[in-house]
Amino acid sequence: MNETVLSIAGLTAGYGSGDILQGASLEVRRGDVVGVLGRNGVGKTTLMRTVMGLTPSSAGSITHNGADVTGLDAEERAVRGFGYVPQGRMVFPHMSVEDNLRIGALERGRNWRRLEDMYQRFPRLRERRRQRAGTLSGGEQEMLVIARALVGDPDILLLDEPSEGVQPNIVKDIGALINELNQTGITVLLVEQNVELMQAAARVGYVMEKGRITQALSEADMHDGERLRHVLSL
Amino acid sequence: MDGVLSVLYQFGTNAAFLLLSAIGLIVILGMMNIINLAHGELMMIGAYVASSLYHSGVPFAACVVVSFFAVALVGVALERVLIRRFYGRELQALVVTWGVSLILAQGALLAFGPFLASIPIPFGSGTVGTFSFSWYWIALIVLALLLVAGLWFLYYRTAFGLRARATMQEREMAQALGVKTGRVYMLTFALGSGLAGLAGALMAPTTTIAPYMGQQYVAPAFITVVTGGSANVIAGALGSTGFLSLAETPFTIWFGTFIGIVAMLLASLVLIRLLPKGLSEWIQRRWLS
Ligand SMILES: Nc1ncnc2c1ncn2[C@@H]1O[C@H](COP(=O)(O)OP(=O)(O)OP(=O)(O)O)[C@@H](O)[C@H]1O
Ligand SMILES: [Mg+2]
Repeated sequence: MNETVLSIAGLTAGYGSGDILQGASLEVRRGDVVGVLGRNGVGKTTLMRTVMGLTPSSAGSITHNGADVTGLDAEERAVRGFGYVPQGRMVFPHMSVEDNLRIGALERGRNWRRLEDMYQRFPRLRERRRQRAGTLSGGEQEMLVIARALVGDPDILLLDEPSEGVQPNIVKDIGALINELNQTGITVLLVEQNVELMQAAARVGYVMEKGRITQALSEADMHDGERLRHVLSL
Repeated sequence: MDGVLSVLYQFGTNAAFLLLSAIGLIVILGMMNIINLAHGELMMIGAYVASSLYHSGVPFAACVVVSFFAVALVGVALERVLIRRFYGRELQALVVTWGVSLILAQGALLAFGPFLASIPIPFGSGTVGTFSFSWYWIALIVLALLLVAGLWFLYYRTAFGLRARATMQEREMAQALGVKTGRVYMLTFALGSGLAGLAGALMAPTTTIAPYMGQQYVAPAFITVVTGGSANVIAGALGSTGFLSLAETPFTIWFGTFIGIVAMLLASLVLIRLLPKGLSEWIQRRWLS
């Protein structure tokens, strides 16, 4: 079995008025795509923000490649290889597409050649590279934030509901893209409430309810669409 | 011919005055959303540094450069000790910087008395026909333009600029990409302070160097900033100084300085009524996207 890239144990966090995340635990192994399935408001985004270091944790630990990173801030985690694709996209709206990509490479070794790789993967972004990112369509912005994370050659990619607010055919593209990325060896943690994307992209997974991880989903479970849909209706 | 030159000169000096008064304020407000009421006092410190050095034999150009760095350091200290505690709390930050401004002006009065030795205007004057002008003001016009060009270069062509723009637009996302946003804020405040100090030193030969000298620059600086808006700081600075001087200059020539300033104020009010987000948002929408 591959080594553990990310391990979360008993993670607790919130926004001042009570804990949203209440002792969540999970593991991600190198080269794997791990999904976390949960309905609206169970704390998926809070989990991702806490893993990234944007929301402080009050208990529990986050371990990256064997090192405890719980006390590090987001800047330091990013430099260590956490690639973050937030829910709601968060492009830098007044910056050009190209500058959005450049900032993704800047603190991760300034490997500007990777911009060219991204343009090859996403020709739409090349066409629009001088355009302000805020003027792109929802699907294009989603590509941009994924490319912005990839351009820094992340050790683990954190994807927060990439299906939200994009058209169904683009959801399919996102699934195919995650698979493709995974073939090149990228490790992914994906949170979603879209069963189709979850099945298309994730190999194994977890179920999240009310701030806790309540079940692990095996490869066989992931093929059982009925079961996954049932999880969401709980 | 002489008349045309004279009007152009008046326009240029008005615009340079506004640009130099506002440039430090623009950087801090546009990038950090902090209304720095101590801006005038930072200019005053710049003038004080320049005057002290000048009268101990340092060439004026070197005094100006040292003023930039000295006041930038003052900015670093202010940011580390005070300002950084108030990010995202605009009103509190405003009150804090107002307190700082009072302390700095009173402190200068107590420490150095009611005024400092003035600096003679460098370069002398020139004439074309009946039109006479000060070479120093020509230099200030050129320098003001160079400063804007320098800022453009810094923000659009360097790694610092990329980090600063990202931090301004989506701070958390910038952090999640590894940008040390606390450092960006500190350097931005230092830059804005340093530019205020530089402008104070450059203005020093044209005015009386005294503890409350900053006040004459603060009102025009704020009018410039509000007219420009913060959608695009550099376009805003150029657009609003150009626009305001255009409104001010004819009235200054026909009716004197006071009416010129009233005209500038009215022009600013009308513009803000029509374009609430400032001139820069309009420039950006019209030409830059
Ligand atoms: N910044 C915040 N301040 C206070 N409460 C918040 C904040 N962000 C989220 N919450 C609350 O935390 C809970 C979990 O939110 P979170 O965004 O983590 O859920 P989610 O599973 O990502 O939901 P969704 O599927 O809608 O994205 C919600 O009740 C929400 O109201
Ligand atoms: Mg969410």
